[in-house]
Amino acid sequence: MNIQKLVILRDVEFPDKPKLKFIDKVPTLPPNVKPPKMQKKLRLMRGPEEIHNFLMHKQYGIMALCGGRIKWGHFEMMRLTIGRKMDADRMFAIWRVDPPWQPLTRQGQGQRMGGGKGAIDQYVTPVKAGRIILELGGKCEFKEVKGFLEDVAMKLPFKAMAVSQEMLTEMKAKEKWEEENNQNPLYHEVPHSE
Amino acid sequence: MALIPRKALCETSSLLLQFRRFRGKINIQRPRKPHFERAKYIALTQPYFINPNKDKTPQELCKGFKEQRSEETENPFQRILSQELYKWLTSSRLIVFYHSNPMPAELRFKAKVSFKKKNMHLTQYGKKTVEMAVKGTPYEAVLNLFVSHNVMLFSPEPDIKTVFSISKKFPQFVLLAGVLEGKFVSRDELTAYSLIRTSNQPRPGSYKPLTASVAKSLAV
Repeated sequence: MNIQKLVILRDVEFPDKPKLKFIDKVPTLPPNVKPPKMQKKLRLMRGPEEIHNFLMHKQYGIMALCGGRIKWGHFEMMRLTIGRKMDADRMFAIWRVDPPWQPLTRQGQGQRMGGGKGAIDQYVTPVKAGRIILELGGKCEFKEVKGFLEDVAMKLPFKAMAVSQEMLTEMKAKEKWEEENNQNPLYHEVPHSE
Repeated sequence: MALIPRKALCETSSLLLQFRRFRGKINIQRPRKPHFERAKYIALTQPYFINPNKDKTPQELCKGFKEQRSEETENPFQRILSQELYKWLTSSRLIVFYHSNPMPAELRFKAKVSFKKKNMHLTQYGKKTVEMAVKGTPYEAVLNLFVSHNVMLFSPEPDIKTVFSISKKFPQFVLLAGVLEGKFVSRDELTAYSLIRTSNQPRPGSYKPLTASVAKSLAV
């Protein structure tokens, strides 16, 4: 018989509002400024995330496994799904990405090449591999939240997974072990793409 | 000064070999397959580790290796059930052990109800729970009966006749043995006791072989 030990629910600091904040479709600009267009800047999605790759509340979250762009529609999907599925009395959720800020232009359907840069179609948030998208915490276990977090992760436009602090520490420990126990003297970290 | 033209000559890049790098836009989510040369270098520089199963014996490698299996922890709920069972064992004057053959749940419920009406408690416990309850107690011998599916009947009054009359209606319950007033009795002894036509139930210690004269003396 496999009895699981009781999990002691730690003291967690709850934010003012448990549910995810509403995200604006368009960033607010000063009134007299024309909305600027921007370069594609694929470097914002390329490579591993070095800064925002840890969980602030050290509980659960969604981590991107590949680079991509989050649109406003995805933000709404995440906000509503998690708002519906989570228990607002015991749990809280916070955003770990900026609201959409990067303008994406589009020429218009059926247009020929030329005629200048297209008009701004939508705003997106670029995300790198390893980035934490949102965090979920409170008096709950990973088993409870994994279900709906995985549902949300599968709907994102890039590969993502639901993570817990234990998983992240395990991954880091494994990386460290691999680094120390590598037998290949020619080992050199190279990017596998291109 | 004379070195400059020499340096310029030595460092001219060959225009015949112009490598193409970062051509066009890369696809981050579906990266392009690397060129064979690059793939070769990537394969050579991959990390590899010593196999953790390197110096293990075949026994250690075996999945069901007992030493590797963690000791089974006690189930607290099973412990509570075993304590409950022990209470029933010690508090009832008559305990009957049956082997239970497959029967419809409806019929099983009917049996339970019939016994309940006569203030008798019919229960089913697994061997592990019974082991937990009786190990180290005088009832330890009961474990020998628990081979297949078993059912126990607890009665506060040693009313063997009623037990037999109800058991007859449910042939799937095969009587094995019993405990009467704290003493083990076999099936034959129980049958004998049930046949005795008397309101006073006999004490097990005072069992005599059932001859005609004894039966007459006991009959009231």
